[in-house]
Amino acid sequence: MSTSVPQKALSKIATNRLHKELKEWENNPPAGFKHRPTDNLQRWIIEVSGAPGTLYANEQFQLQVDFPEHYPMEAPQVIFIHNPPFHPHVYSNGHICLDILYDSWSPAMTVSSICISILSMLSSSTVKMRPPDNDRYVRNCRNGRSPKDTRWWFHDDKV
Amino acid sequence: MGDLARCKTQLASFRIKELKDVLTRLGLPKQGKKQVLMDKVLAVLVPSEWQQHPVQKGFKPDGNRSSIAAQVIDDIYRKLRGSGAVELASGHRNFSGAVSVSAGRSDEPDETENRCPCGSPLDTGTMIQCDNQACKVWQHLNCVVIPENAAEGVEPDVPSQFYCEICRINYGDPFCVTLSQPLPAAKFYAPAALQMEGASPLHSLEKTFILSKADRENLHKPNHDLQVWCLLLNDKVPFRMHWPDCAELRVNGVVVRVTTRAAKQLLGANGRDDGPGITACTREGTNRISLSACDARPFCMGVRIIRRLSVEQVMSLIPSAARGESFEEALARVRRCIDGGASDAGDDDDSDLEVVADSVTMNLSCPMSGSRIHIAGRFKPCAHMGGFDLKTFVELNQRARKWQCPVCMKNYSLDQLIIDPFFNRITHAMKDYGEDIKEVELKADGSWRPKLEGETVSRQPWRSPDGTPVLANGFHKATVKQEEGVSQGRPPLKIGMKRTHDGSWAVLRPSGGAISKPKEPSYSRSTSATDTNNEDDERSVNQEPYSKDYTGDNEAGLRAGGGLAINAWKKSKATLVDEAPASAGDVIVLSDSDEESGSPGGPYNNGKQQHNGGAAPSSSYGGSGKNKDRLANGATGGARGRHSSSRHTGSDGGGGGGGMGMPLESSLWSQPSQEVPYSFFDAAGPARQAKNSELDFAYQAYEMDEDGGGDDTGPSKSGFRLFLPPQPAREQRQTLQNPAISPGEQLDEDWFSLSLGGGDNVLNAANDNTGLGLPLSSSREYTRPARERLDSLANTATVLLGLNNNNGAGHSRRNQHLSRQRSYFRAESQSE
Repeated sequence: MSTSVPQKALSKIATNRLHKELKEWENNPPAGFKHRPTDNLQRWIIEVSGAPGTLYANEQFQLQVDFPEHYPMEAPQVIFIHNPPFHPHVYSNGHICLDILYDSWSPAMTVSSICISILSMLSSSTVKMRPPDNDRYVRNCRNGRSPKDTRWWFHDDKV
Repeated sequence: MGDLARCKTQLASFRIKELKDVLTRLGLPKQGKKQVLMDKVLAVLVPSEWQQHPVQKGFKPDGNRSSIAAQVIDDIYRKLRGSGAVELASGHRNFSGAVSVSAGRSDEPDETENRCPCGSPLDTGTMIQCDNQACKVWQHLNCVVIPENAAEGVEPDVPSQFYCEICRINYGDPFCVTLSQPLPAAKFYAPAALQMEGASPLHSLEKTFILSKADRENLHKPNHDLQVWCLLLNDKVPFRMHWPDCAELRVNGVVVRVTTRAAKQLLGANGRDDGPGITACTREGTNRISLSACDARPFCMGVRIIRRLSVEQVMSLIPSAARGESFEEALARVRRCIDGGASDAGDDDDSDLEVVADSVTMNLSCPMSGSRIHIAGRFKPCAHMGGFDLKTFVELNQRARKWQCPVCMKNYSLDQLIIDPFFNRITHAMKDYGEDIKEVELKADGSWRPKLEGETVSRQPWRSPDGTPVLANGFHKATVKQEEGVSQGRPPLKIGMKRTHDGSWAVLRPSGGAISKPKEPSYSRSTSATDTNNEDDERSVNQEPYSKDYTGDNEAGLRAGGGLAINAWKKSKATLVDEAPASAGDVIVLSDSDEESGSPGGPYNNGKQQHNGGAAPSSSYGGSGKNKDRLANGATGGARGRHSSSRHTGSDGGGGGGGMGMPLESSLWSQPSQEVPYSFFDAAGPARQAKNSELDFAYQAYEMDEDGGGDDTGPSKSGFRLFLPPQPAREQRQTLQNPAISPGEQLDEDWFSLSLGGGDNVLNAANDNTGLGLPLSSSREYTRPARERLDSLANTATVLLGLNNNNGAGHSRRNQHLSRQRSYFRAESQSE
């Protein structure tokens, strides 16, 4: 389920930046998220609680965030692990179709802002379902392809 | 011999570096000053001149060498121009540090030169010129401007900005400076026949280029490389390298990988390709290069010799703060960002709605690194305030080559990168603070202060945009007002008195530093409706809109009165005007205010000042631009619960203009204060003498103190201020409108929030008894009939009274109003 990422060590800037983000997270974590502390700065495991009042209330998910060598100039790879939520933009292998994770990534974004976007994406869903092309996509990704290598087509700005 | 003349002209534009290049390629020694070098070149070029200037002993000129020299000079001259090495139109900066040409060079680029990737030098069809002032090359429009959906025979639209492919490559990666181009740009475009067949036909291009011995030597120098580049002619992102899909590059038969993209994965808007170095697989003499790809789009490729710059060298290309954007421009831009441009308007006095947040919090941490910005950088065309740390940005872009604003994600190039003169001063001044202080508060006038946690917050002086403290002692205005009639028996407010020291102040204004005139009018008394109680402790303090208290000192003083700490930010205009007449000379105003003079510039002064006595024409205040006041302890005023419980009769009320200053938290309410023409009072009640008074509204974000006094409003007062609790309620408003009704009403302790500014003479008011001192009853006790009565009354009121949070729940209507809150309020005031 988890994608193998050829991990190059973080650059110095990336390391500093991640330390800062981690510290900021500890001081001011986004509501509904819990960072499971590890000693691996390059891979964060984050627990997400579905927002109350939404389809995903009382559900727990796990996000895995892998940082590339040149973070923040490059987007981190963010996927759901274990049991991805049923959501029209979340594939059963955990890949998330969310523009800010790919084309619209900006180095000004942070893990925290990504988390909030993902929770917002979950919360605005009106139906629990897999994306229509789930099977095809997941089959294509069997070799452990990173979602960042996918050409995403962002079409739905409502959910 | 036209060639010779041209060569001389070209030579004249060369700097030492180019002269040395020429000599290197001619195999001559290159020591000496510029003139010596020049003479050496001329000696080769023009044998006759060599005889006049025999600098090179033992050198025998011959015609063959002369023509070679001419060739070399021409070559270097073209490279010089092709590299985009001259000044950019916008910034007077040399784009490539390596080959720059002096500003006053005699030979502007030849504006008629044609150079097109198609290879034809002829003027055929529509031509388009590169916008780089150093380049200005003409190209065939049809060759280089290709619309995405090219239709046969349709002339493409001429873009508003056009750069030739060489300039685009240079802009795309300022870390690489083009020294020469062994293989000039060549178009890589699928033949039309192939395009018909499929979307992405496989096609290829093969070229040869020659590396001279000098070139090879160059390539062995550190930081030099031979780079093959490619770009998409109609790329949405103009300044980047872009390889076609499935590109396969071979140099002398060796496969060179150009991208890491998988097949069919196109380059996204945020992606950047790189140009691989091919020094290792080339040799002196003829080299062969071939590119094949399955991509129908029009590309353009070439080979160039580059020199890589360090981060420091690229940083040095960024214009200094002075040259990039003037401080004034930056300040104006920041002001626009903060308050939408109202700050310079100067004519905002006539708008009765003023919607301004007093200050905004600006985070100074770099979005890329997360650390606080050391050198603030930004892209000049960006409209937003946010910037980034310049060094971090350049470092990251050495590899990423994106040159995108991290805030708005627009694509730019290095030549639009500037130092932000405004924030750079702030970040520079912030060096005195710990790295963890990353936020500053900014006011619309550009003054700022670091945002600290806890107690120290208010002790931080505001600083003018240039970083100097606005006032040494950090005082800001606190105006305490007493009204006459009521307060006479009492001792003057100590608070106010103490505050003022010498009455002299210095005003720092951004523009001219003109000193605002001291406020003549003095107001020193604070009136509270409760004056009758003679409680010194509980004087009501009228907060003037002007009063601004940033300093701990002031707060302390005010607290003496009441103990509520108020952080109220008000923005008010010219409210004082009315008061002056009312004060009738008896009022002493202690104010450390900047406000008074109408200068829009905003409060810069910290001066403390005491105004005594004389009825000063308050008009001096009137003109003032927006004042943002931070009220300290407005609530402490004498109008306490007790007083209110005592139920003032109308007469009492008349005496006491005492308002409660309520704490305002500006952040909650974006429009802290408002002015309302006084006139509507007339409708409500007779006995209005004051003409021009205005009402100031203030919102109150806090709950009231439980003491929260009742207060009385002297309707007759010309100026009065309402401080509203968070939820304005309509009922109260009505009560105000009809002062006559209210006298009988009972006051509840929960009420207050009305403060009357110095209106007409208090005494007069008292005598008049006209609807004096409205008791504002607490919502709880407010009886329904009364309300109804009120409702029936005049509609004119614009005043909102605040309700306490603990208002009786029973009033369903109230709740509705509560829910409307601010928008409701605005609507009302506008209707006024």
